[in-house]
Amino acid sequence: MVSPLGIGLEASWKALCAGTNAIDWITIFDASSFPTRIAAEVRDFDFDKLLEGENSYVGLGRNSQFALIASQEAVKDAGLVDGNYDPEKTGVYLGAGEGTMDFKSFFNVLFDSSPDNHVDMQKFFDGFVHSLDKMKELQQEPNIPAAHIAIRYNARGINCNTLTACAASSQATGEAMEIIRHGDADVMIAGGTHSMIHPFGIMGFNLLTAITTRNDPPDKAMRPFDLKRDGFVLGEGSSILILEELEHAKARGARIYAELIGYGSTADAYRATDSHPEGRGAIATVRRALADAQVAPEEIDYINAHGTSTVINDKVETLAVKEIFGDHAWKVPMSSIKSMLGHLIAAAGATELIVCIKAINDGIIPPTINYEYEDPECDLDYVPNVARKKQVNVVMSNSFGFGGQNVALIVRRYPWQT
Amino acid sequence: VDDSKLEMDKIDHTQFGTSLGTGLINSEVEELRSSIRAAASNGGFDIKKYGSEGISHLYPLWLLKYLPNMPACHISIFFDAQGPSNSITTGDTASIQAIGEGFRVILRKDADIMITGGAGSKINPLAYVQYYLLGKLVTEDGDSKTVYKVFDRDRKGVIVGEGSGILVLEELESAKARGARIHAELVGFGGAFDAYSVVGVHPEGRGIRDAMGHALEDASLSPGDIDLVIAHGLGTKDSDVAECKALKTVFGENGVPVTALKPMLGYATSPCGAFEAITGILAMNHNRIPPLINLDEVDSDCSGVNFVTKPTEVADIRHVLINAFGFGGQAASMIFRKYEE
Repeated sequence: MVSPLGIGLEASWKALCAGTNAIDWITIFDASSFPTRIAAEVRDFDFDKLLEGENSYVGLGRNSQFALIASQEAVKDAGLVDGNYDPEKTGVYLGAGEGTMDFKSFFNVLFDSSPDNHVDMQKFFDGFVHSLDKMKELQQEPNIPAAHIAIRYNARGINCNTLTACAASSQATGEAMEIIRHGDADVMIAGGTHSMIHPFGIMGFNLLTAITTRNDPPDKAMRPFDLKRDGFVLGEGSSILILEELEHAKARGARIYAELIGYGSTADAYRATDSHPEGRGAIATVRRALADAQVAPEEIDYINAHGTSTVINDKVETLAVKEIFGDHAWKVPMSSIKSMLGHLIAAAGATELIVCIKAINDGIIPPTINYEYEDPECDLDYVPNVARKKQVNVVMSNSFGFGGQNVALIVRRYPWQT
Repeated sequence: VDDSKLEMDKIDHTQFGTSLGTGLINSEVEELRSSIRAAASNGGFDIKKYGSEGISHLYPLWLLKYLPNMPACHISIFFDAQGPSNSITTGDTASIQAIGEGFRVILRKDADIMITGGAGSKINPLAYVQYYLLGKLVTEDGDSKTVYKVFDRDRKGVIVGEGSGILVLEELESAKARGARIHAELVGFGGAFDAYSVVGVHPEGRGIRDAMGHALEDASLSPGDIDLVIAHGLGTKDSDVAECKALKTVFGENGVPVTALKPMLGYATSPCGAFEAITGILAMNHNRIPPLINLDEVDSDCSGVNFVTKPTEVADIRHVLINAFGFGGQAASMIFRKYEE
C-alpha cells in the first residue's frame, strides 16, 4: 500500500488505527487560489529509492510509480518468486486512473497558441511537439500501470483495467476473483492506483460541488456521516492485493490473510451525478455480494463504508444498510477511513478492502474521525473518532462510483470453520 | 437494442447490465481556451489567476465528459439496466475484453442480457500530438483512401478513426424463449499479456498468440475449425510482423483466410474490437469476407499469411476469430460461431 498515511501497509495501518488525519494544504501544485486548497497527499515518496532491483523506467506518472511500489510490497509479502507461479496463469486486473497530464506544458502552450478568440492549431501543434515528452504522454493511458506490473513480474495471463470512477479498484478486485473462479488464472495481482490532485481534478470536482471548500483547518474538512459534512477531500495512492486460488496458495505454503468470498456489482441506472435516493443500486449490490458469499446479513461483523462525506452518499448508504440489515444495522460497526485518507477515487476500494482484511487479522476497527455532530438521518454506529478492539470474522467493503456503479466485496477470516 | 427486439417491459432489469470498452478522453482545447486565457498575467499563464478565474469559464458537468465510465452510465440510465456495469480501459484491446467480460458475467448468471462493445474518439488535437510524438501517424500527403496500409511493405503509419460498436449478448435459452433473432453465438474468449515493453510489441507476438490459444481452448475448438480471422492489423511494422508470426504459429503457413478493417475504418482504439466483432458476425451470416484493402505488396516479414484482398464470397463461414492487442501489451481474442438452430 502507498497511501497518504504511509508508504507500506504497516505504516498506513498503524496510522489509521491511531486515527491520524493525512489531510493538509496541497503542495503538489500551487492551489493557493483554487476554491479547494487541501488534499491528502502521499508525501516523501522517492520512487527511485523505494524501487528494488533494476530501474529502467522513463517518464512514469505518479499513478504508475505508486502501483509499482505497492505491487512490489504485495508480491514480496505473498512470497511469489520465479518458479512458484505459472506466468501464463498469472494476470493483473487494476482499477487504475488516467495518468496526470503535463499541466505546465499544456497550460503554457494552450495559452500561447490562443491569443485571439480561437486556438491557432499550427501554433498549438508546434508548441506541443517541442514541449511534450512522448514517454510522459504515453504513461497517461490508464492501462499502463497494469502493464508495468505485469512486465515486471512476467504475468502473461489476462491483463485488464477498469475505470468505473470511485468503484474501480473494488470492481477490479471482484472481477479478478471471477477470473480465478472461472479457471483462467491461478494468481491475480489486483487493486488500483490514482491521483487526481491536479488542477483539473480540483477544478472538476469543485464544479460538481463534490469536494469540500472548507479549507481551514484542513484536518476538519472531511467528516463522513457528520451533520456538518459538505463534500470530500481528494487523496491519492495505490493498493494492491495478491488473489490466489485457495488450493494453489496452500500448495505453495503461502501466508493466507483472508478469503475473498463475495462480490456484487450493479448500476444505479438513475443519474450521472447522484446516487439513487432510496439506495436502489447500493441495496442490490450488497444483496448480490451476500448471496455470492452465502452469508446472512447478521454474519457481517464490520462494514467499511464508502462514506465519502457528501450529504447524499452518507445518507443513502445509511439508508441502504438499514434496509438490508434491519435491526442488525445498529449493531454492526461501519466506519469510513476516507475521513483520514481522503478519497483515493479509483484506488479507494482496494485500499478499503485491505483495511477490512487487517481488521480481521488484528482485531481492530479503524475509526471515522471528525465525527462531532449527529445527523438524525445518519444514526448508525460509525466507530466515531477512536479505533475499537473487536474480533471480526466476516467483513464487507462498499464502493459506489460516480455514474452509478456499485460494488460490494466480502472477506472472511482464514482458516474458518462453520 | 432495437435490432435485438428486447421488450423493455418484459425483461428483468436487475439482470440487464453493461460492459463497455472505453478509453482516456483527451481534453478539448477549444473548450478550455477561455478558462486558460482568463489566467493571463504579465503576458503569460498564471496558475494563481487560473485557480480564481478559470473555473467560471467552465460548465458544472465539465469533468463528467472526461470520465471513461460515462458512456456505460448513460446507457444504463437510458435502458434502465440495473445489473453489473463495467468500463474497461485497455486501449486497443478494451472492447474485446469488455465483450469477453460481458460473456463471463452471463455465464456465471450475474446477468441474462449485457449491452457490450465500445466507444471512443481520438480525433482530438492533443491525441494527434501524442500519436505524432510516438511516430504512429501517417504524415505524408497522398490519397487518403489508399494511404492507410497494413501488412504492406510500403506502410506509412496509421490514420485515426472513431465511433462505437455495440452488441447485445444474451443467454441462449433466454434469447430462444423470446424468439429473438440470434446473429451468432459467442463461444470463446481469451486474454493474455505479452510482458515485453509498454511501447513495443513482443517480436514473436507472444501476447496475441497466447490469447488466440486461450480463446480456442475456451471454445473447445482447434485452429482448423476457424474459417476467418479478422486481424488487429494496425499498420505499424512491429505490430504487423508480430501478429503475422502469431497467426502462423497458431494456424500454420498460408492457413486460415485473414482480413483486417482498419484501412477502411481507421484506427479507432477502444471501439475497434467491437467493429471487428460485429463485422465478423456479418461476414459469417453473409458468407462474405470484407477485403483487406490497400494491400499492394505484402511486407516480406508478413509473408505466409492468407490475406483476403478482394471482396470474397465463400461457401460457408462457421467460426470467425477476432484479434485485438495494443500499446501496453494487453491482448485478447474472441470466437463467434454461426448460429444454427
